[in-house]
Amino acid sequence: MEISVTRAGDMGEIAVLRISGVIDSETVERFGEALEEVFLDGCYNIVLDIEGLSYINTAGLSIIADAYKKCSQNKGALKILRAAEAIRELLDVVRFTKIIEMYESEEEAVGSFR
Amino acid sequence: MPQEETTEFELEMPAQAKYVGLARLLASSIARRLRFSEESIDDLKIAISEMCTNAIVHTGNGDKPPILVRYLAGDGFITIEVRDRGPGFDPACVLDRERGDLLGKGFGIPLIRSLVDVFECDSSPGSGTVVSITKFVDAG
Repeated sequence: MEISVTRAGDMGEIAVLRISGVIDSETVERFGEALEEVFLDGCYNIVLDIEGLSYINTAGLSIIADAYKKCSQNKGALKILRAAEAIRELLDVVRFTKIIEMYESEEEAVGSFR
Repeated sequence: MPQEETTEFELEMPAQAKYVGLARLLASSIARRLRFSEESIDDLKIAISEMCTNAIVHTGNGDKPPILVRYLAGDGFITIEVRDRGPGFDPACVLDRERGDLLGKGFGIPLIRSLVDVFECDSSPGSGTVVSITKFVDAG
């Protein structure tokens, strides 16, 4: 799994995490740590760009659910950008798409925080 | 999910009880899309909880390898397969085990069998265990 974090928004108040590869038992801890680092910076506006993500396990889904809750509790939001079809279907089946906003363009995702 | 298509998900799950809920949620969501009755969905939820709990228990202690849960859904059926990489066992002894050391950790295989239409268990000592269930929409 590759993961990088960039900042967006007028004041850099949005963290965009670009994740590619797979989130499985080998990599899930690193995914959680990357989100924790963003939270430690006091940032609770998060865009998960998962265009390059081809697989996610239950632990990864739990981390997304926990991160969504943490963002909401801190008056922020977590949004998902460019989910591949298979991942999108999984997120749909576990009903994440009912609570987490999904976007196809970064501009739209970042703009939705305004 | 169009009824003619087959949908398949394979989900890796750490061998920890806190993730069983997600495996259950996935099963119930797929079954609901296939228009299973609420009663059948409840049966599936109980069955997959038991399958995952058994897999977690069989995987043992310490640094546990993850469990694989595979969902296959098609026209009027859902098949769920739970694969662990525990020590495995002789399936011929399964009923004795049920009455013995597994009692109290879940109702186990007899309960799963009673809730589904097809039950299969493949295991041998040293090679892990695969438990597979299938339920049909019309079977109620």
